[in-house]
Amino acid sequence: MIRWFGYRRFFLAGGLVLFAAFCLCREALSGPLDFDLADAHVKITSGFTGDDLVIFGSRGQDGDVVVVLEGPERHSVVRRKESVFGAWVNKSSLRFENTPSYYDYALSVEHEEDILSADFRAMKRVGLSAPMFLPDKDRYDGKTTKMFQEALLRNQQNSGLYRLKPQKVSFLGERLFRADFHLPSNVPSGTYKVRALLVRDGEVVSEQVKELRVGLTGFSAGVYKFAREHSVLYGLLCVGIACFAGWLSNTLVQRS
Amino acid sequence: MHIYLPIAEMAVSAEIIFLLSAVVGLISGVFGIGGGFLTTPFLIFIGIPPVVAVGTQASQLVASSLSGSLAHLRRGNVDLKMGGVMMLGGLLGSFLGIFLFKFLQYMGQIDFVISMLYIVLLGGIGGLMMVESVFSAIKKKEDVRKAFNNTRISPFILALPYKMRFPRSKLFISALVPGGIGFVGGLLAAVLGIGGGFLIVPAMIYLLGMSPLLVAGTALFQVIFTTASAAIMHAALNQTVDIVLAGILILGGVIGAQAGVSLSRFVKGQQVRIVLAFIILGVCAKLVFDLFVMPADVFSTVQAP
Repeated sequence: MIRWFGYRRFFLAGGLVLFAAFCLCREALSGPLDFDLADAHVKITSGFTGDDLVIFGSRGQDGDVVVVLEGPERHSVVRRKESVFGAWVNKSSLRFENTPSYYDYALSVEHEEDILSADFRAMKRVGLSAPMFLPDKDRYDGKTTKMFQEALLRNQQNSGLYRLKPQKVSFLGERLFRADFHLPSNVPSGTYKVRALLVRDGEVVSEQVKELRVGLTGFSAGVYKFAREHSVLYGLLCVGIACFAGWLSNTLVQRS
Repeated sequence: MHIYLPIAEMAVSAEIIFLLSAVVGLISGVFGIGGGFLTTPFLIFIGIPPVVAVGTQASQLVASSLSGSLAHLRRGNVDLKMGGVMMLGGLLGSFLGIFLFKFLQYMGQIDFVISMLYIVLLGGIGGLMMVESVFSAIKKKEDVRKAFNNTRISPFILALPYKMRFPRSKLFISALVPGGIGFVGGLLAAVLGIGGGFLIVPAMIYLLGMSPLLVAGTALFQVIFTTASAAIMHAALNQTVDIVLAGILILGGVIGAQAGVSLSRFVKGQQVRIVLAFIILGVCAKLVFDLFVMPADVFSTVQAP
């Protein structure tokens, strides 16, 4: 594990040097903002316990850098428990469309409020806040809806799927920057969007988007795919293996 | 060692799961029950989604019940005809159970129903067993034997139609009774991911008046089929059977169960029943506590594509 990590570090450093050289060479041509992922494919294998994600880039002009990492959008159902004869039961619920399945971001400053107005933050989804999520139906009054919106953020944060505090974008010299993210083991699979923004005087000067694939590979991917595409066969296989294991253990004990 | 579960989409500690299933396997071997009622809540407790816990646990129970009933079969402790009738009821029950499960899931009430069913079933059965065991421990041994010999099968059960002869159990009873017991077992397998032994075993003793010697083996025998059908249907309709998790559970379970079956020859029925009653009531108390104490967060979020 440590060796593997060491390897990664080595490659990362190498990649960074190359990227720096590359940037310096075409400095005259370079746009205001450019970045790349150390690895455009996060592979979920049987031993997957989370992964580090490093983004490095360069800015062609002065400004603050924001990097946003967003998972594929899903719908969320938030439910509230109420006490019914002393038991806590799900009573009311609210559905939100287009919520990211994963969210993390990094800034070159302390707080996003310092560099972007609330409108811009909502538009560019820089940092998550409750009002960014609109329920599919106006079922409750504003105050209750707000409680559900806040609960959505809190629940997702507690599951490790939303980061509400920014990571740090660090500069290596004047132009080069890097942002470090950590993806937890329960990271949802799918195509992620990585966005880098260059912000100056409260305006987004430049924006770059790249895709990051997070997906199962090898054995895990095979199992996942098989379980979805041939679900009956998969069920029979599971039961078959279980039967074999039961019979085998009994036979082994009988012999000994 | 952490291992990634491809269907649950999360990493878990393989040792913890293995240890849990081995302990539960041991208990299941001694008592002739599936032990699912201990495993499923624990899996949910360590963060595995309830849907995956139920579906996967059902497939693990196939292995442990098969292994256990082979041991019983070899000793001739299985009434195959009785088990077959129970199996038919069980298949029907598991089939209906899956659709009930999907409906409750859609309504957002599956967690509550799972907890509530556990509390009612475990509380009732555990309490009855406790009372029964304490009373029979006080009574003289001969009285107990006498009480069992004039088994009090209720006249209502004796009046039911479709009577069938079960030579191995020396019973002449309506097929609806074992079929109905199997049906409930199948329903429980699909909704709760358990074999339902803690309900089936007492029902067979008290409703059918079967010899306790045959009960454990016959119950395990029919559990093979109800859990197999529940597992296949969970895999087909919900895609919630995790083969990696099932593998670890099976490995621990079969090892524990074999040890348990060997151990069961040396333990006395009466004491064992009191211990089992304590375990059942303990799980029940924990579930009551979780359901009635205000949760840390009354809100919960579920995401789906």
